Amino acid sequence: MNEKLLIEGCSKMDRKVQRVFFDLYYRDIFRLARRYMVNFHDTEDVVIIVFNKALKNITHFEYRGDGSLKKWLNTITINECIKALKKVRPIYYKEELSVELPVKLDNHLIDVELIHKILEKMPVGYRTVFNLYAIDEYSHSEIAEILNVSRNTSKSQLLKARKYIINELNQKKSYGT
Amino acid sequence: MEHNKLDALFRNMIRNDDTGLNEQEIISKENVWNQLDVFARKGRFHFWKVAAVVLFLLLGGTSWMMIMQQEKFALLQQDFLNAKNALAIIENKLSETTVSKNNNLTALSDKKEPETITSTKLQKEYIEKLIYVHDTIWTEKNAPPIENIKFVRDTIFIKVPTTAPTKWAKLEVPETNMAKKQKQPSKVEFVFGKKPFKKPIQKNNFIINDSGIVEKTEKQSDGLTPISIFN
Repeated sequence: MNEKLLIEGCSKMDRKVQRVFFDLYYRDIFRLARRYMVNFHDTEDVVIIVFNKALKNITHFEYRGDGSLKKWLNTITINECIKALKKVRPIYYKEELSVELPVKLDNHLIDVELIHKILEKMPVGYRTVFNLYAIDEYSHSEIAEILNVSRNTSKSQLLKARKYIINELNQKKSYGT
Repeated sequence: MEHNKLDALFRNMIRNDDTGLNEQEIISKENVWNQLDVFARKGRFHFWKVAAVVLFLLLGGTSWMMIMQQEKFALLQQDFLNAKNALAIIENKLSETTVSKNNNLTALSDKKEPETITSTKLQKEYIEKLIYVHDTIWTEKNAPPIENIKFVRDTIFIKVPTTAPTKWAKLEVPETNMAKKQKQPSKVEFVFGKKPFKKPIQKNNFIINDSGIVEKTEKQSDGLTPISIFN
Protein backbone atom coordinates (compact mmCIF):
# COMPACT_ATOMS: atom_id res chain seq x y z
CA MET A 1 0.00 0.00 0.00
CA ASN A 2 1.12 3.48 -0.76
CA GLU A 3 2.57 5.36 2.20
CA LYS A 4 0.26 8.28 1.58
CA LEU A 5 -2.79 6.07 1.64
CA LEU A 6 -1.52 4.47 4.79
CA ILE A 7 -1.13 7.83 6.46
CA GLU A 8 -4.56 8.91 5.33
CA GLY A 9 -6.26 5.74 6.51
CA CYS A 10 -4.51 5.81 9.87
CA SER A 11 -5.47 9.46 10.35
CA LYS A 12 -9.11 8.49 9.88
CA MET A 13 -8.65 5.77 12.51
CA ASP A 14 -9.50 3.08 10.01
CA ARG A 15 -8.79 -0.09 11.89
CA LYS A 16 -8.03 -2.15 8.81
CA VAL A 17 -5.50 0.37 7.54
CA GLN A 18 -3.97 0.56 10.99
CA ARG A 19 -3.53 -3.19 10.91
CA VAL A 20 -1.83 -3.01 7.52
CA PHE A 21 0.44 -0.27 8.83
CA PHE A 22 1.26 -2.41 11.86
CA ASP A 23 2.00 -5.52 9.83
CA LEU A 24 4.17 -3.56 7.43
CA TYR A 25 6.47 -1.95 9.98
CA TYR A 26 6.34 -4.29 12.95
CA ARG A 27 9.35 -6.43 12.00
CA ASP A 28 11.72 -3.54 11.35
CA ILE A 29 10.70 -1.65 14.47
CA PHE A 30 10.88 -4.75 16.62
CA ARG A 31 14.36 -5.64 15.39
CA LEU A 32 15.55 -2.06 15.71
CA ALA A 33 14.32 -1.93 19.29
CA ARG A 34 15.81 -5.35 19.97
CA ARG A 35 19.28 -4.08 19.00
CA TYR A 36 19.05 -1.46 21.75
CA MET A 37 17.02 -3.17 24.42
CA VAL A 38 18.25 -6.77 24.04
CA ASN A 39 15.76 -8.03 26.60
CA PHE A 40 12.71 -9.46 24.81
CA HIS A 41 10.05 -8.06 27.14
CA ASP A 42 11.65 -4.62 27.26
CA THR A 43 11.68 -4.68 23.47
CA GLU A 44 7.97 -5.52 23.42
CA ASP A 45 7.17 -2.64 25.76
CA VAL A 46 9.09 -0.20 23.58
CA VAL A 47 7.35 -1.43 20.43
CA ILE A 48 3.92 -0.91 22.03
CA ILE A 49 4.85 2.63 22.98
CA VAL A 50 6.24 3.34 19.51
CA PHE A 51 3.12 2.17 17.68
CA ASN A 52 0.79 3.95 20.10
CA LYS A 53 2.67 7.18 19.58
CA ALA A 54 2.94 6.75 15.83
CA LEU A 55 -0.76 5.98 15.33
CA LYS A 56 -1.90 8.78 17.60
CA ASN A 57 0.35 11.40 16.02
CA ILE A 58 0.23 10.29 12.42
CA THR A 59 -2.20 13.14 11.66
CA HIS A 60 0.62 15.59 12.38
CA PHE A 61 3.16 13.74 10.24
CA GLU A 62 4.35 15.60 7.18
CA TYR A 63 4.92 13.26 4.31
CA ARG A 64 8.16 14.06 2.47
CA GLY A 65 8.49 11.33 -0.04
CA ASP A 66 9.19 7.62 0.03
CA GLY A 67 11.02 6.44 3.10
CA SER A 68 10.11 9.45 5.20
CA LEU A 69 7.49 7.48 7.12
CA LYS A 70 9.96 4.71 7.92
CA LYS A 71 12.59 7.22 8.97
CA TRP A 72 10.04 8.90 11.23
CA LEU A 73 9.18 5.59 12.83
CA ASN A 74 12.86 4.74 13.30
CA THR A 75 13.46 8.07 15.03
CA ILE A 76 10.56 7.45 17.42
CA THR A 77 11.85 3.95 18.13
CA ILE A 78 15.40 5.07 18.88
CA ASN A 79 14.20 7.85 21.15
CA GLU A 80 11.95 5.50 23.07
CA CYS A 81 14.75 2.95 23.39
CA ILE A 82 17.14 5.54 24.84
CA LYS A 83 14.44 6.70 27.24
CA ALA A 84 13.74 3.16 28.33
CA LEU A 85 17.43 2.40 28.78
CA LYS A 86 17.91 5.47 30.96
CA LYS A 87 14.90 4.51 32.99
CA VAL A 88 16.20 1.02 33.70
CA ARG A 89 19.59 2.21 34.86
CA PRO A 90 21.77 5.17 34.04
CA ILE A 91 24.37 4.50 31.44
CA TYR A 92 27.86 5.50 32.51
CA TYR A 93 30.37 6.28 29.81
CA LYS A 94 34.00 6.37 30.65
CA GLU A 95 35.68 9.23 28.91
CA GLU A 96 38.95 8.16 27.39
CA LEU A 97 41.39 9.40 24.84
CA SER A 98 40.10 8.85 21.36
CA VAL A 99 42.96 6.78 20.16
CA GLU A 100 42.50 4.78 17.03
CA LEU A 101 43.46 1.28 17.83
CA PRO A 102 44.50 -1.06 15.07
CA VAL A 103 42.01 -3.83 14.54
CA LYS A 104 42.45 -7.04 12.80
CA LEU A 105 39.61 -9.16 11.82
CA ASP A 106 40.23 -12.47 10.33
CA ASN A 107 38.23 -13.37 7.35
CA HIS A 108 35.27 -15.52 8.17
CA LEU A 109 31.64 -15.60 7.48
CA ILE A 110 29.52 -13.21 9.46
CA ASP A 111 25.81 -13.59 9.46
CA VAL A 112 23.04 -11.44 10.87
CA GLU A 113 22.31 -13.80 13.65
CA LEU A 114 25.89 -13.62 14.83
CA ILE A 115 25.75 -9.83 14.74
CA HIS A 116 22.65 -9.84 16.86
CA LYS A 117 24.24 -12.23 19.31
CA ILE A 118 27.35 -10.09 19.61
CA LEU A 119 25.28 -6.98 20.13
CA GLU A 120 23.23 -8.68 22.83
CA LYS A 121 26.35 -9.56 24.74
CA MET A 122 27.95 -6.16 24.36
CA PRO A 123 27.82 -3.72 27.32
CA VAL A 124 24.92 -1.31 27.04
CA GLY A 125 27.09 1.80 26.61
CA TYR A 126 29.06 0.33 23.74
CA ARG A 127 26.00 -1.11 22.16
CA THR A 128 24.04 2.13 22.28
CA VAL A 129 26.78 4.20 20.70
CA PHE A 130 27.61 1.54 18.12
CA ASN A 131 23.97 1.22 17.10
CA LEU A 132 23.56 4.98 16.84
CA TYR A 133 26.72 5.59 14.91
CA ALA A 134 27.42 2.49 12.88
CA ILE A 135 23.92 1.21 12.12
CA ASP A 136 21.68 4.25 12.34
CA GLU A 137 24.29 6.72 11.11
CA TYR A 138 24.07 9.42 13.74
CA SER A 139 27.00 11.76 14.10
CA HIS A 140 29.03 12.01 17.26
CA SER A 141 27.52 15.43 17.94
CA GLU A 142 24.03 14.05 17.66
CA ILE A 143 24.95 11.08 19.82
CA ALA A 144 26.46 13.39 22.40
CA GLU A 145 23.23 15.39 22.45
CA ILE A 146 20.98 12.36 22.69
CA LEU A 147 23.00 10.65 25.39
CA ASN A 148 24.02 13.87 27.11
CA VAL A 149 27.69 13.08 26.89
CA SER A 150 30.67 14.68 25.23
CA ARG A 151 31.80 13.93 21.71
CA ASN A 152 34.97 12.34 22.93
CA THR A 153 32.96 10.00 25.10
CA SER A 154 30.93 9.01 22.11
CA LYS A 155 34.07 8.35 20.09
CA SER A 156 35.74 6.31 22.76
CA GLN A 157 32.65 4.22 23.32
CA LEU A 158 32.48 3.49 19.63
CA LEU A 159 36.11 2.38 19.51
CA LYS A 160 35.57 0.08 22.41
CA ALA A 161 32.49 -1.34 20.78
CA ARG A 162 34.39 -2.11 17.62
CA LYS A 163 37.20 -3.71 19.53
CA TYR A 164 34.71 -5.80 21.40
CA ILE A 165 33.05 -6.96 18.19
CA ILE A 166 36.33 -7.93 16.60
CA ASN A 167 37.45 -9.82 19.65
CA GLU A 168 34.18 -11.65 19.71
CA LEU A 169 34.39 -12.52 16.06
CA ASN A 170 37.95 -13.73 16.38
CA GLN A 171 37.03 -15.74 19.43
CA LYS A 172 34.23 -17.41 17.62
CA LYS A 173 36.48 -18.31 14.77
CA SER A 174 39.12 -19.71 17.03
CA TYR A 175 36.51 -21.87 18.83
CA GLY A 176 34.94 -22.85 15.57
CA THR A 177 31.46 -21.31 16.31
CA MET B 1 39.73 -4.10 8.44
CA GLU B 2 39.08 -0.42 8.82
CA HIS B 3 36.57 0.76 11.24
CA ASN B 4 34.44 2.24 8.59
CA LYS B 5 34.32 -1.05 6.80
CA LEU B 6 33.30 -2.87 9.93
CA ASP B 7 30.55 -0.36 10.49
CA ALA B 8 29.43 -0.64 6.87
CA LEU B 9 29.47 -4.42 7.05
CA PHE B 10 27.27 -4.50 10.09
CA ARG B 11 25.00 -1.82 8.74
CA ASN B 12 24.45 -3.49 5.41
CA MET B 13 23.89 -6.89 6.89
CA ILE B 14 21.29 -5.59 9.30
CA ARG B 15 19.50 -3.43 6.76
CA ASN B 16 19.45 -6.14 4.15
CA ASP B 17 18.17 -8.69 6.57
CA ASP B 18 14.93 -9.93 5.04
CA THR B 19 14.41 -12.96 7.21
CA GLY B 20 10.85 -13.41 8.43
CA LEU B 21 9.62 -13.25 11.97
CA ASN B 22 10.58 -16.16 14.13
CA GLU B 23 8.09 -17.94 16.31
CA GLN B 24 8.75 -15.76 19.31
CA GLU B 25 8.36 -12.60 17.25
CA ILE B 26 5.05 -13.79 15.80
CA ILE B 27 3.61 -14.40 19.27
CA SER B 28 4.90 -11.06 20.41
CA LYS B 29 3.35 -9.34 17.40
CA GLU B 30 -0.21 -10.39 18.29
CA ASN B 31 0.41 -9.50 21.90
CA VAL B 32 1.56 -6.03 20.93
CA TRP B 33 -1.42 -5.49 18.58
CA ASN B 34 -3.89 -6.38 21.32
CA GLN B 35 -2.30 -3.90 23.67
CA LEU B 36 -2.50 -0.94 21.35
CA ASP B 37 -5.10 1.61 22.49
CA VAL B 38 -5.39 3.78 19.44
CA PHE B 39 -8.63 2.39 18.11
CA ALA B 40 -10.96 4.94 19.66
CA ARG B 41 -11.92 7.64 17.26
CA LYS B 42 -10.19 10.86 18.00
CA GLY B 43 -12.08 14.06 18.20
CA ARG B 44 -15.44 12.38 18.32
CA PHE B 45 -17.81 13.75 20.82
CA HIS B 46 -19.58 10.95 22.58
CA PHE B 47 -22.80 12.68 23.24
CA TRP B 48 -24.49 9.72 24.83
CA LYS B 49 -21.60 9.28 27.28
CA VAL B 50 -21.79 12.91 28.32
CA ALA B 51 -25.57 12.67 28.62
CA ALA B 52 -25.25 9.51 30.72
CA VAL B 53 -22.73 11.17 33.03
CA VAL B 54 -24.88 14.28 33.40
CA LEU B 55 -27.98 12.20 34.08
CA PHE B 56 -26.09 10.12 36.60
CA LEU B 57 -24.86 13.25 38.36
CA LEU B 58 -28.36 14.72 38.40
CA LEU B 59 -29.90 11.56 39.76
CA GLY B 60 -27.13 11.18 42.27
CA GLY B 61 -27.45 14.76 43.35
CA THR B 62 -31.23 14.54 43.65
CA SER B 63 -31.03 11.32 45.63
CA TRP B 64 -28.46 12.86 47.92
CA MET B 65 -30.65 15.92 48.44
CA MET B 66 -33.66 13.72 49.16
CA ILE B 67 -31.75 11.73 51.73
CA MET B 68 -30.48 14.87 53.38
CA GLN B 69 -33.94 16.43 53.44
CA GLN B 70 -35.69 13.29 54.63
CA GLU B 71 -34.52 13.76 58.17
CA LYS B 72 -35.49 17.39 58.13
CA PHE B 73 -38.91 16.48 56.78
CA ALA B 74 -39.42 13.90 59.51
CA LEU B 75 -38.62 16.50 62.16
CA LEU B 76 -40.97 19.01 60.58
CA GLN B 77 -43.68 16.42 60.40
CA GLN B 78 -43.21 15.64 64.09
CA ASP B 79 -43.38 19.34 64.95
CA PHE B 80 -46.54 19.67 62.92
CA LEU B 81 -48.17 16.74 64.69
CA ASN B 82 -47.17 18.13 68.07
CA ALA B 83 -48.62 21.51 67.17
CA LYS B 84 -51.79 19.87 65.95
CA ASN B 85 -52.19 17.94 69.18
CA ALA B 86 -51.53 21.02 71.24
CA LEU B 87 -54.14 22.91 69.24
CA ALA B 88 -56.66 20.14 69.78
CA ILE B 89 -56.00 20.21 73.52
CA ILE B 90 -56.42 23.96 73.63
CA GLU B 91 -59.61 23.72 71.60
CA ASN B 92 -61.03 21.19 74.01
CA LYS B 93 -60.12 23.36 76.96
CA LEU B 94 -61.71 26.36 75.39
CA SER B 95 -64.88 24.48 74.59
CA GLU B 96 -65.02 23.17 78.15
CA THR B 97 -64.52 26.68 79.44
CA THR B 98 -67.25 27.94 77.14
CA VAL B 99 -69.65 25.26 78.35
CA SER B 100 -68.79 26.00 81.93
CA LYS B 101 -69.25 29.72 81.47
CA ASN B 102 -72.54 29.20 79.72
CA ASN B 103 -73.71 27.03 82.55
CA ASN B 104 -72.67 29.68 85.04
CA LEU B 105 -74.56 32.31 83.14
CA THR B 106 -77.60 30.10 82.98
CA ALA B 107 -77.38 29.54 86.70
CA LEU B 108 -77.04 33.22 87.32
CA SER B 109 -79.98 34.09 85.17
CA ASP B 110 -82.05 31.53 86.93
CA LYS B 111 -81.07 32.90 90.21
CA LYS B 112 -83.66 35.51 90.97
CA GLU B 113 -84.03 35.17 94.63
CA PRO B 114 -82.65 38.19 96.29
CA GLU B 115 -80.36 37.79 99.13
CA THR B 116 -81.44 39.11 102.37
CA ILE B 117 -79.15 41.70 103.67
CA THR B 118 -79.17 41.68 107.34
CA SER B 119 -77.45 44.26 109.27
CA THR B 120 -78.47 46.49 112.07
CA LYS B 121 -76.25 49.29 110.97
CA LEU B 122 -78.41 51.42 108.87
CA GLN B 123 -77.96 54.76 107.48
CA LYS B 124 -80.53 57.05 108.91
CA GLU B 125 -81.52 58.42 105.55
CA TYR B 126 -82.74 55.18 104.29
CA ILE B 127 -84.87 54.25 107.16
CA GLU B 128 -87.67 56.50 106.14
CA LYS B 129 -87.55 55.80 102.52
CA LEU B 130 -88.75 53.12 100.37
CA ILE B 131 -86.41 51.90 97.78
CA TYR B 132 -87.55 49.48 95.24
CA VAL B 133 -85.15 47.07 93.94
CA HIS B 134 -86.04 45.84 90.57
CA ASP B 135 -85.81 42.24 89.85
CA THR B 136 -83.84 43.03 86.84
CA ILE B 137 -80.86 40.83 86.33
CA TRP B 138 -78.06 42.12 84.21
CA THR B 139 -76.33 39.22 82.57
CA GLU B 140 -74.20 41.41 80.41
CA LYS B 141 -71.33 43.43 81.66
CA ASN B 142 -72.49 46.54 79.94
CA ALA B 143 -75.98 46.93 81.11
CA PRO B 144 -78.19 49.15 79.05
CA PRO B 145 -78.32 52.60 80.53
CA ILE B 146 -81.57 53.14 82.35
CA GLU B 147 -82.33 56.42 83.82
CA ASN B 148 -85.43 56.95 85.69
CA ILE B 149 -86.43 60.22 87.07
CA LYS B 150 -89.03 60.18 89.70
CA PHE B 151 -90.58 62.86 91.61
CA VAL B 152 -91.33 61.88 95.10
CA ARG B 153 -92.65 64.99 96.61
CA ASP B 154 -89.79 67.28 95.89
CA THR B 155 -87.19 64.69 95.94
CA ILE B 156 -85.75 63.68 92.64
CA PHE B 157 -84.09 60.41 92.34
CA ILE B 158 -82.10 59.77 89.22
CA LYS B 159 -81.04 56.32 88.44
CA VAL B 160 -77.82 55.95 86.56
CA PRO B 161 -76.48 52.75 85.01
CA THR B 162 -74.36 50.70 87.25
CA THR B 163 -72.90 47.26 87.21
CA ALA B 164 -75.25 44.40 87.77
CA PRO B 165 -75.78 43.85 91.40
CA THR B 166 -74.28 40.74 92.71
CA LYS B 167 -76.51 40.65 95.67
CA TRP B 168 -80.06 41.47 95.99
CA ALA B 169 -80.87 43.55 98.95
CA LYS B 170 -83.90 43.04 100.99
CA LEU B 171 -85.18 45.56 103.31
CA GLU B 172 -86.21 44.03 106.59
CA VAL B 173 -87.90 45.91 109.29
CA PRO B 174 -86.42 45.27 112.73
CA GLU B 175 -88.63 44.03 115.49
CA THR B 176 -88.15 47.23 117.40
CA ASN B 177 -90.36 48.91 114.89
CA MET B 178 -88.21 51.71 113.99
CA ALA B 179 -90.59 53.16 111.51
CA LYS B 180 -91.47 56.75 112.18
CA LYS B 181 -93.68 59.27 110.73
CA GLN B 182 -92.63 60.36 107.40
CA LYS B 183 -91.35 63.83 107.34
CA GLN B 184 -91.11 66.28 104.63
CA PRO B 185 -87.72 66.07 103.01
CA SER B 186 -85.81 69.21 103.59
CA LYS B 187 -83.79 69.05 100.39
CA VAL B 188 -83.56 67.51 96.96
CA GLU B 189 -81.47 64.46 97.03
CA PHE B 190 -79.77 63.03 94.08
CA VAL B 191 -79.05 59.45 94.68
CA PHE B 192 -76.48 58.05 92.34
CA GLY B 193 -76.02 54.39 91.92
CA LYS B 194 -79.02 53.68 93.99
CA LYS B 195 -82.08 51.88 93.01
CA PRO B 196 -85.26 53.78 92.44
CA PHE B 197 -87.59 53.68 95.36
CA LYS B 198 -91.23 54.19 96.00
CA LYS B 199 -92.91 56.68 98.15
CA PRO B 200 -94.21 55.00 101.23
CA ILE B 201 -97.95 55.18 101.46
CA GLN B 202 -98.39 53.73 104.82
CA LYS B 203 -96.37 52.65 107.65
CA ASN B 204 -94.43 49.68 106.97
CA ASN B 205 -92.01 47.58 108.73
CA PHE B 206 -88.63 47.77 107.13
CA ILE B 207 -85.34 46.39 107.95
CA ILE B 208 -82.45 48.15 106.42
CA ASN B 209 -79.22 46.43 106.46
CA ASP B 210 -75.74 47.65 105.99
CA SER B 211 -75.95 47.99 102.31
CA GLY B 212 -78.50 50.72 102.67
CA ILE B 213 -80.60 49.15 100.05
CA VAL B 214 -84.09 48.40 101.07
CA GLU B 215 -86.80 46.36 99.57
CA LYS B 216 -90.43 46.74 99.78
CA THR B 217 -92.17 44.01 101.64
CA GLU B 218 -95.14 42.20 100.33
CA LYS B 219 -97.52 44.31 102.39
CA GLN B 220 -96.54 47.39 100.58
CA SER B 221 -98.79 48.43 97.85
CA ASP B 222 -97.26 49.69 94.73
CA GLY B 223 -97.25 53.37 94.50
CA LEU B 224 -95.18 54.96 91.88
CA THR B 225 -93.80 52.84 89.13
CA PRO B 226 -90.45 53.44 87.65
CA ILE B 227 -90.47 55.42 84.53
CA SER B 228 -87.67 54.86 82.19
CA ILE B 229 -86.71 57.89 80.21
CA PHE B 230 -84.15 56.04 78.15
CA ASN B 231 -85.53 52.96 76.44
